[in-house]
Amino acid sequence: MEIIYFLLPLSFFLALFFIFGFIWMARRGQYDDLDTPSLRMLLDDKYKNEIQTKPTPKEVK
Amino acid sequence: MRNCSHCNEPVLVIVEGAQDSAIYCCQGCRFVAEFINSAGLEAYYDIKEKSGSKKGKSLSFLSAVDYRYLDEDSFRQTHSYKINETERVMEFYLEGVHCLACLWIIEKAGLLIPDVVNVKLEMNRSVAVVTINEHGSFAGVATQFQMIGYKPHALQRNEETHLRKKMEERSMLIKIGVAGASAGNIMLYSISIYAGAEENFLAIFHYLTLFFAFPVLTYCSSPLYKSAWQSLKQKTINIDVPISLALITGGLVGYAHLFMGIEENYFDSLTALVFLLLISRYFLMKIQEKSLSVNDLQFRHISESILKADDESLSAFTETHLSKVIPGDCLKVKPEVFIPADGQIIRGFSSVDNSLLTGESQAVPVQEGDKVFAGTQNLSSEFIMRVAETGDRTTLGKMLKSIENGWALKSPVARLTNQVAGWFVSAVIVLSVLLFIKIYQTNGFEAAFAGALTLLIVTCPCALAIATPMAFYRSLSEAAMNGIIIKNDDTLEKISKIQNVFLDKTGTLTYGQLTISTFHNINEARHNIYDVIYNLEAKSIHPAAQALKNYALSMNQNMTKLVVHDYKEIVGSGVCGTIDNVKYEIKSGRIYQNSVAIASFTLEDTLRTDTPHAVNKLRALNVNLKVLSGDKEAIVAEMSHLAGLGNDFIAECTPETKARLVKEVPSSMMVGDGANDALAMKSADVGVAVLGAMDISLKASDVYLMNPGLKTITDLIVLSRETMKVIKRNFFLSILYNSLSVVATFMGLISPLMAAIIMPLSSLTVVLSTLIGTRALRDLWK
Repeated sequence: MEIIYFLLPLSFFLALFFIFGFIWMARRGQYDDLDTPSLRMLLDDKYKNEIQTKPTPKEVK
Repeated sequence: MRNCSHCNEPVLVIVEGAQDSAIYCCQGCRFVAEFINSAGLEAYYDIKEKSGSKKGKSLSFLSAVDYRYLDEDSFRQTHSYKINETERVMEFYLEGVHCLACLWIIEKAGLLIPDVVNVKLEMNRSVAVVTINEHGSFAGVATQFQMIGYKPHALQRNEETHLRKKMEERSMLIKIGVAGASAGNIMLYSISIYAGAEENFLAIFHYLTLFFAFPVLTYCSSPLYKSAWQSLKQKTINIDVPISLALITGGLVGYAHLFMGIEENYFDSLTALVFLLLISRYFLMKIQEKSLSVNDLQFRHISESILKADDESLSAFTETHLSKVIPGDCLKVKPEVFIPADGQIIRGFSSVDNSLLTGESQAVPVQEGDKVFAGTQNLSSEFIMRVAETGDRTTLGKMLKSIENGWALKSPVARLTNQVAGWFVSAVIVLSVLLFIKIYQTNGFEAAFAGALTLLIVTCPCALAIATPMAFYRSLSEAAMNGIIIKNDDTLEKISKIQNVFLDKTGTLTYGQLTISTFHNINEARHNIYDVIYNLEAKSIHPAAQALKNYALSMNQNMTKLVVHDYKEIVGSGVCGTIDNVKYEIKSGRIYQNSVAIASFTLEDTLRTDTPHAVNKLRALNVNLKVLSGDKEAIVAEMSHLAGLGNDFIAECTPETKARLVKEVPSSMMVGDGANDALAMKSADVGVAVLGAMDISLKASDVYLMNPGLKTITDLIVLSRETMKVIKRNFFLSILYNSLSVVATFMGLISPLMAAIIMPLSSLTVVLSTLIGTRALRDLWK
């Protein structure tokens, strides 16, 4: 079972990676509005054409 | 009956559009639709159809609003913020947003305006976040929103408030995320430990558990500790106190074990506890957001641009914003505009609609020397006034303040929850101590502590804390998506207890639009009679004028513009004027040419098709119905019988009578027009507004319906009753869980680990119970 000596640090760092990833995303505003993007997906391509909607202005704190 | 090409409401009087086969229900829809087509945004209708959305009619087009004040420096300072060197952002609440097509057209139309960098609509808040660069104009964007049919209200967001709100919510999410991830990982390690890990591995798993638990017990739990501390400072105990106790003691003991070499800790239970508690607080926070923030809407309808005199000579006027007006200033007030402040007329005369303040629906003539009040609407002519009071110090402002203070009370159910939680929690702490002592005497410290901790965890009223807010949150948001805007959860509870509903006739039972029902041409007129009607009634905003104009339009496609001399409107009676030396008068159901009657007509309001059915349903719900209307007995009687209400009506009511009748009866709901029935709506337990501008209506009423009609009232009552049922069921479930677990803990049947599993189970049950709702609720939202 020595493999656990390898797996443990691996899973540990994996967990840390995702936690910090989540914190980073939350601070950048990815979770601010969860409803609208799900609706936006439903628009057919032909309605989107040239004008791309950009994400909300990035104020990071 | 055909439907409006724009809003899909049934069309009573056809307004034809420029394109063939397009018909509209009113000029407002026609205007918006033609603009949409001319701007190349026709895809709007395609998307609307595909997304199958139900449209609520909310076009309140009194007059096009001038948005130039949005670009003034002073306004920008309080209502916008910079995000970098060149870009500035302003947020607008938009009326009438409800579907994918709205999303598409709002963002697309906004981007068509030059110098607009970005338009992003947040559907759950109905807020459009608009970014412009330094050359851009917010006024341009606001006007565009209005043109496509979504009335914008600029929100007060400057640097501080904006950042503060965002940060609060993000910080909460981060805490939940960290707690969840940590709890999950700890549980994984704990499973290994319980499964029987050996020597080295056991130690490693323990250390890992300790590591992950630390941020959760400190950073993530800080809101809980803060709340418990606040409560203790005030010498009370709230639900966070025993939890904080459990967390702190459990944490300390756990870390102590590390040093003592004992490999037993409770971090798996504790972190799971924190995670679930944070989630329930998050729901509570979301509820505040969902209930419409009336602060944002305060005085919005008066924040259109105001004409202020440059000096005492009153020769020139500049456009400015309400915030810049002080007592002593002179303002020019045009017709159809809302009077911005309390003051006195110094030049000119007119008639005003005082209904928002007094409930009087009759137009009141005013002249030089008379007082006028903020919030009332100027009707016929323009005048100049001197300002006496502004903002909070006007009569309207003071009234709003007193209403607002009334809102600070939380809903009875929420208060009950807090009370129960209060003594429940004290009981729990006492019990834990007792249990500790009991077990200590026989089994020593370890077992005693384990038992006490189990008790604290398992009796966590977390299910109780989630039960109420979650049910309210769900109902409020589903209602909002279906066009029912409820001010707060307190209202929802009051509605469930309603026994008597008073209905205004116009707009609720009927479509609210006067139409011509009969028209007789007695004699030939000198000019085309429809041209005469249209031109003569052009300037009047009386509903009868609207009906006549629509009728004339529908009978005569090519309208000729005629010059009208000596135009006079006798408020409430009719109009008269001279065209090419022929004197025409329209009054009392007749049209006169040189004092000879040449035509007669009658006006009527049609009953909505869904009314009789809704009446039956309401009766089935054990609700007493009565119609209160200011109209003549005969008309009201007829409508009442047609609706199936028989003789349950009272006609020819003044607003004061209505208010009195409403007050005499317990558990009353008044359904009416926002402005005219303000007095009665305030006297009732619950006021529901249909028709009228949203921000005005919400001041006097508790609920605003975007889809007028009796069916929505039925839905509202069903919604509130079913929500209360769900809440009671949740209460019952959580108390059941708690009681059973307390008993089991005393009998020694449960370990801290089992407690940690049971507790989330109770919360989960409550969540599921709320999501499943009741059959009636599910039917409602289909």
